[in-house]
Amino acid sequence: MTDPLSNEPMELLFSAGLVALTLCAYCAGLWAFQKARHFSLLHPLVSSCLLIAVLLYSFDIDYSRYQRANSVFYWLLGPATVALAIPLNREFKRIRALIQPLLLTLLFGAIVSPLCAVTLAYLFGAEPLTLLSLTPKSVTTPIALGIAREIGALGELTAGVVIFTGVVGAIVGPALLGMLGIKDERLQGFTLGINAHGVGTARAFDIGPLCGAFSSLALGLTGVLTALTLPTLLVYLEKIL
Amino acid sequence: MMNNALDYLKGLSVLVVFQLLGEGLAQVLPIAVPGPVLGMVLLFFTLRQLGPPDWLVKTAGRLIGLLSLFFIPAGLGIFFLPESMQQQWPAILAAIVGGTLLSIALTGLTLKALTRGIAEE
Repeated sequence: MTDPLSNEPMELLFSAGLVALTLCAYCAGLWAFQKARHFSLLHPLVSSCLLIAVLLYSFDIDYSRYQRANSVFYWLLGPATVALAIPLNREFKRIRALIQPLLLTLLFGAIVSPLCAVTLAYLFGAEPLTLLSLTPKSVTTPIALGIAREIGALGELTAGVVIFTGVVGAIVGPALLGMLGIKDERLQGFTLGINAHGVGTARAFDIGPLCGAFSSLALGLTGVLTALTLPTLLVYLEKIL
Repeated sequence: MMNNALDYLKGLSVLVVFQLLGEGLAQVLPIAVPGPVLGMVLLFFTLRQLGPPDWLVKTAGRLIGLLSLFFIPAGLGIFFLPESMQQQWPAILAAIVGGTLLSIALTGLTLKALTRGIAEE
C-alpha cells in the first residue's frame, strides 16, 4: 500500500470512490438477496462482484488499481478469521460429540478434493503445471498460496482457482447437499468448510450460526492438514509416476 | 451509544492482538500456516480457559456477519483471471465446477454415513 499522504488529491478521491463502490454494491446485493428470499444465485458476494466487474470494465479501471484502493477489506479478513474462534468455542460441545466422523471426513476430503479437480482437468487436457496449481483449490487463499509456492505451482492461477472454487461451492453447495438428503446444519457446514473455505464459511453463517461454526472448524483444519500433507503426497506421487 | 463503540473497539483490539500473536507464531513454525488462522487457534484455547466476554462475542458476530463483504475484492478476481488461465479454460472450468460439486457430494455423503446414528440431537 502506498502512503496516502503522498498521493495527489484526485488520486485519493478516486480511491475513496472505489471503496464506496464496494460498499454500495454490497448493500445493493444484500437488498436484492433479501428481496429474492435468499435465493442462492443472488448471494450478495456474487451479485455485488458481478456489478463491480461490469462497472470496472465499462469505465476501463484496472483491477489492480481497484484492489489497492480496497486493501482495507483484505486487512479486515484477518481479524474476521480470528473471530471465528468465538463460534468454535460456543459450539465446542457439539463439535466434540462428532469429532471422530468429522476428522475422518476431513482426511477423506483433503485427498478427494484435489483428486477430483486434477482428474477432471487431466481428462480435459490440462498441462502438468496447471494440474499442480489446481491441487490446493479448496484451501483458504493464504494457505493455498503458501502451498503453491512450496510445490512450485503458479501462484496467480492458484489464487484465481481458489476463489472461483469458493464461490461455486457457496452457491451450489447447500442446494446440492439438500438434494442428497443432507439437511443437518452441522453436516452442511462442515462439508462447506472442507470444500469452499472462507467463502463457503461466509455462506454457512447465512444458513445459521451452528452451520457457520462447523464450517469454521473445517476451514481451519482443512487448511492446516493440506499444508502438512499435500507437498509430501506430491513428492511420493512423483516417485511412483 | 458511547459504550457500544467502546465495546467494538475493545473487541477489535483483542482480535488484532491475537492476529499479531498468530503472525508471530507463523514466523517461528516450520509449516506455512497463515497468522490469522493461528490467531484463531490461540484465541480458541484462551476462550476455553477464560470464557468469552460479551463485548468480544458482539464484535465477533458483527465481523463474521460481514465476511461476504470482506471477500468482494478477492472474489472479483474471477472476472480478471491471469492469461495463463484463460488459455486452458475448459479444463480449469471442468476442474473447478465439476470437481467442486463432485467433492462436495462425496465428502457430504461420507460425513452423513459416518455420523448415522450419532448426529441426531
